[in-house]
Amino acid sequence: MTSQAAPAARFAALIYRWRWPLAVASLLTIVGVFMAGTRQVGAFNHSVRSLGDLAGRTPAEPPLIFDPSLDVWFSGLADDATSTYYEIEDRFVAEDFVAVSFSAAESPLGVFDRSALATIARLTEQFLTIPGVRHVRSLTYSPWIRAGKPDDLAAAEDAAHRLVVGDFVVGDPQQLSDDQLIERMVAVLGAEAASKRVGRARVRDVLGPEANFADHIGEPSLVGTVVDETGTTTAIQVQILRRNARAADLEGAAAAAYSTSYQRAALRGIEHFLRQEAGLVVPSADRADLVHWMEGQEDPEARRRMRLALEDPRTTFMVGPDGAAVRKVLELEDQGDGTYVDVRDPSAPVDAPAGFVPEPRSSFRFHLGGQPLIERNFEQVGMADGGLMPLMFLIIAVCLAFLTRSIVGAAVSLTVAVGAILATIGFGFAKGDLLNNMTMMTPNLLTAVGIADAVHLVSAWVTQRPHATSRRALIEAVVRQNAVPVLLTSITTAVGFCALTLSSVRPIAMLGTSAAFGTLVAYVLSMTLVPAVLSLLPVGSRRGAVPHAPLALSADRSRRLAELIVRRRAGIVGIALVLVVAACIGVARVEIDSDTRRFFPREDPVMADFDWMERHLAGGGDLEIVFGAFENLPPADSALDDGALSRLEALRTRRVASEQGHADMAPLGPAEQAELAQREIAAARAAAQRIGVSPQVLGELDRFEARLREDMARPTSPLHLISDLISPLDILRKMHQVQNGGSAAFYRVPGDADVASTALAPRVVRDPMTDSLLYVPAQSGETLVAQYYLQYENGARPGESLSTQLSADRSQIRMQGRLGLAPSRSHLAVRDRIAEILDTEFPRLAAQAEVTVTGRTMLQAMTADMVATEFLKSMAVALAVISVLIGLVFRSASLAMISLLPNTLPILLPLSAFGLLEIPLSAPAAFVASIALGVCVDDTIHLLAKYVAAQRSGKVGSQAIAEALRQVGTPITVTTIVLILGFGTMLLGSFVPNQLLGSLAAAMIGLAWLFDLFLTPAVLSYLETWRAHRQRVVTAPSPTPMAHAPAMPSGGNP
Amino acid sequence: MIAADATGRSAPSSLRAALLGAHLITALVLSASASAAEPLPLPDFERDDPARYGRQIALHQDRCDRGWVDERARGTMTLFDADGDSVRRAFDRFVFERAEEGDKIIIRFAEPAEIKGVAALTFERPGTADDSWLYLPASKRVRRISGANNTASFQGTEFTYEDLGSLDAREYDWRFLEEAHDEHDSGATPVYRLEAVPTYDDTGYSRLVVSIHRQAWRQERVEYFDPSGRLLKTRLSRDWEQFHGRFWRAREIEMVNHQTGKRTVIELTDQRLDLAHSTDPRSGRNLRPLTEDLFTARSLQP
Repeated sequence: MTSQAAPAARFAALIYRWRWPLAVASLLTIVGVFMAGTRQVGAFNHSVRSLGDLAGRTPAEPPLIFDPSLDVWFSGLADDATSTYYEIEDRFVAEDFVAVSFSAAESPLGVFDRSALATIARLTEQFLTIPGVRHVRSLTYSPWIRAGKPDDLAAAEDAAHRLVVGDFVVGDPQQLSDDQLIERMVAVLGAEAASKRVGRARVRDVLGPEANFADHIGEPSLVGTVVDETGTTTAIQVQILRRNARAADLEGAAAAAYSTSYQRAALRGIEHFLRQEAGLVVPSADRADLVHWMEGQEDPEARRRMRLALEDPRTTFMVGPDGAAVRKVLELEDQGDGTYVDVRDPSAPVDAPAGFVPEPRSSFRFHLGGQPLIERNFEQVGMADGGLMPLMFLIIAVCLAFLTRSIVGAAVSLTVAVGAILATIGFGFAKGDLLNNMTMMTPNLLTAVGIADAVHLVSAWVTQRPHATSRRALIEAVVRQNAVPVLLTSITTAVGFCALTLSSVRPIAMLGTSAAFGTLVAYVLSMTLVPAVLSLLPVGSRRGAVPHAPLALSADRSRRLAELIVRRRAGIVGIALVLVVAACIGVARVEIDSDTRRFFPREDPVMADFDWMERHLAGGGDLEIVFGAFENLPPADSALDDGALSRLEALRTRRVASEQGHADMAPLGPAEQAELAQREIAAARAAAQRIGVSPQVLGELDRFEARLREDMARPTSPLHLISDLISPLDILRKMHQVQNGGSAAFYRVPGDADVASTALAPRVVRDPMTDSLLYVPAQSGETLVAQYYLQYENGARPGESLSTQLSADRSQIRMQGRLGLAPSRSHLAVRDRIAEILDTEFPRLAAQAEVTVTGRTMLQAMTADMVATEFLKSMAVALAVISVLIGLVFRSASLAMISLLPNTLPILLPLSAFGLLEIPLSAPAAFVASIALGVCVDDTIHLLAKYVAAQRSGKVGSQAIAEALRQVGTPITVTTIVLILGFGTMLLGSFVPNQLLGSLAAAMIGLAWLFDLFLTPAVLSYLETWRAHRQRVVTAPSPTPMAHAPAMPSGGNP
Repeated sequence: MIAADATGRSAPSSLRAALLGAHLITALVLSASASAAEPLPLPDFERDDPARYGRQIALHQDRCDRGWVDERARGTMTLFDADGDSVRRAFDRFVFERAEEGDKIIIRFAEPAEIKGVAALTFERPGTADDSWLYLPASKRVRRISGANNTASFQGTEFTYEDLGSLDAREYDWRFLEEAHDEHDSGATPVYRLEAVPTYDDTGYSRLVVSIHRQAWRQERVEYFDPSGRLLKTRLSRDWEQFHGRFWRAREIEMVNHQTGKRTVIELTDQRLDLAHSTDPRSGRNLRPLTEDLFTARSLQP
């Protein structure tokens, strides 16, 4: 034993002496951390659920531990698009929509058929009663603003001058006549589209002989989202609030969980009504008792509360008389074989009543779309994938027991993995994080890491056990040999994970932190629990024969392998260099992508509904183009505060009054005239902020929108992905048309020319109400626009309100579109194309307003874009740190350099395959590289350690290589198999990025094994030859070839 | 239980609300008052029947706010978004009281400059659709408006037309809930807490909880519950001023939407009731009273 090895020996002795206290202390700490985490989760589950409006939890429902919100992926980004997105959420309203869509292809009137409209009206009304639903947009519940007379007024004398504001359908749609149905079809689709459906003659019939078809342009804000151009497919768009968690004093994960649960509950409410529509909701056996109990309540308040609970569409249970949850209804679903089972509480399925046959209220088949469904799918798929853990453990346990021929060894290795997982999950929860689709992988990763640590000890123990003289000697030897290499591999693995924390994509950073923590826990457990448990077992050869692990390399086989490698080293290294070149070419061509659709399996029912909706109506993603006033002007407040405004008005009144010759007003003096001029300038600058009413800006915007539509219609344009575009211009053009008798010529942005000529100059008039002088400002296109908006704002429902499209201070305009689900680069191309059109064709608009393209879909795409650069960054950092570590530990720069080849090649090769085959790599999966790097490097470190030790003991050339191979062959083969199995189980999951990650990691780890067994020895052999040559040149012989690169405490076998 | 004899008509009211919140006057601001000098005699309260009792309180409160003849005020509305950013609009309001047929109201916007002069005239028609006219100074046209939604937002604020309506006691089923004390900064207010369930169709609410001051007979607070039965909004009236020893008016009314975090504050200044008996602070002379013939479409376009 050399002096350098002494610390390892002392460490081993110390571990042996204190093995039990240390093992118990480690386990207790893990339990403590886990408990702290669960307490934290329990606390916020309690705080979230105690908020009275969060109903809908069945008794068996598990705690909230998963954060499926898409926000988590981009909330950490710090760019304009993200900050603008959150700003508009605050300014307008934070919500998502769920679209409930169906087709009525059989009916001649399409969705304007009575039964379709009745279904829409019924569902609209029901959806509005769901807590968390802010608004519903549907064919029956959208504003219909028109000139003329309302249905219920007979030929009123002033009909032509009336402005009629109402809903498309008021009352029971079944009562509408055919003419009234066609009238509504024309109002929504326009006369031309309606003619295509029912014939020109029929439309002419309804509109009258004088009608100009061109004046009936329909309702552009509904076509595309609420109804398709042909009137065959409709969607009921349910706006669900993302509940403001700040109001409930929640932060971080609790806020996310609250927000998500609130929205999720509303989604359950929607599904409840759809099931009811399909005749699949039946009262439970206990419902009659509940009603009886409720009606027997003396206190009306209590009765009211109970009725609310009983009729809450979000829940199937309510608290019954004895405080326990009682089932209110059964929500049934066809199992595919004609049997119906309740789906709300899968833990205790309840069958439908005997002889149940559903009686649907309508024959339509409904399709659901919208972000909340994707988010729920994320969670369901993520949690389901988490359910694969037991299977993975079983496979690994059997495999380990077989490979090491030790059941106890396998069991203790698994215990290390489980301990690391529990500690890590507890640690994450205690920090206030919830799980997400990315961190759901932590258990798989830590299983691999924990087992890899333990297996090196178990494997050494199994090999040396037959020859051991005492338990103490055996355990100390095992610890001595492995303490430092395992520490080093743990550190390099942790470095790989830590590199992920550089990511601004939060789930990836979270995965990095927790996995790095778990790696260190796994090391501590390996060095305490494993020796303690192994020390319980007897030593010596029990059954006479040495039990051979199936994959052990005998001394003879190692020697032959080593000789082969040294002989063929030129070929091996040559192939490796060719591969390096190929890999570099491939990796350079890798395309990072995050297409939500590709996150789920092809047959996923949620995504199938999305596809259906994109084919029939509009895209499932959102697009926001926000036009904001530049804020480089002096604060508008100073020019707009009370005093300044009334002073300005007083001065204006006097100026105009004296011009008009009002005797009772004193003309302005020179000082006052100067003051007025100053104040007019300040007011004009403040007015410049109000781009939302500026005819110049709106005119440009109008042309810009038309230009975008032109591009949207071209299949080759990136903008073809946009399926709908709405803006406050729709309202403005409509108001202008309606105000001018409904003529299509006025369906445009109004300007100065549309202002009454007598209103162009300011006036002072006597106010009949107060008998005082009243200043009437000069009117312009700007005031006309502002007044139209004001008029509209008074007619619309709160949900339809202009305030969701135009900020109240008129400084921000929102153009909203729907985007098809697509690869992220296609979404980014949309953004870039919009910017290009703006910059090259609309420089005036770009100069007048700050334009930001954003939205959740866009932010998600940007995340993918960012991942590409961050992936390179994390790889580079991990590689650099690991190489430096290897260099330091082996005190050899050349070994550090050599390690680069077998460490990077296994990672680059599989990635390059994606580049060469031009398959986009999904963003989360890209990060597998730095994880795999940390794991791959383990093999190299173990090999180098044993090689250096062999050289130190005097072996040279193929002998040293053979010795190293003999020692590490078994453990690295076993760990490689276990790791491949561990990552391989991810292939059984449904979350596609994780499948990809699993297979990539398995491929990388397998390749790492191959390169470490063949390439590393070949390169080492070259290095030795080169060193020997150099030493001959300098003629300074040293006692051993590697005297300056020593010190791996790797005691050889006895 | 709700009184069976409640005369609350199932108002056809889908057209009830008129454009431009002429009703602003009525409920928002006018919460009735008992005359300090000569309080209205209290009805013979039937405290055993919560429905009748509640209705009696509501009707009495309604009666206390009768006889103010005409009114004018200047007001501002400030709209706050969830982040606390705000915008402000100013208006003048004129009301002519008509006991049975419904009030006549003119609202005229004063700020910002681009909507100055937009004016609305409303004839309240209890139990049926109000008549409304709107004047836009830029087009110099008066348009008659039909069929605006009761549940429509007033001016993009958190108020809907329904909230602006006078909360006509006859249009609700009432129920007495409790006598309570509303705690606020300036102390505790003794209130009757009543539940009001709209009996008309075009409503955005499942019920309201109204707090009426037990001595001053004015609406201190109204809570609005959405169709699912959850608290949607709360309206708080503050800073009360009494006119002619009888009529109470709040100088500040705040409507908070609990679901979106947005709120609207209406502040009223220069309020005058019964103008013939009010003095102009500047001239010291009595104000010219408003006459019914001023409330025509002609007055909208001076």
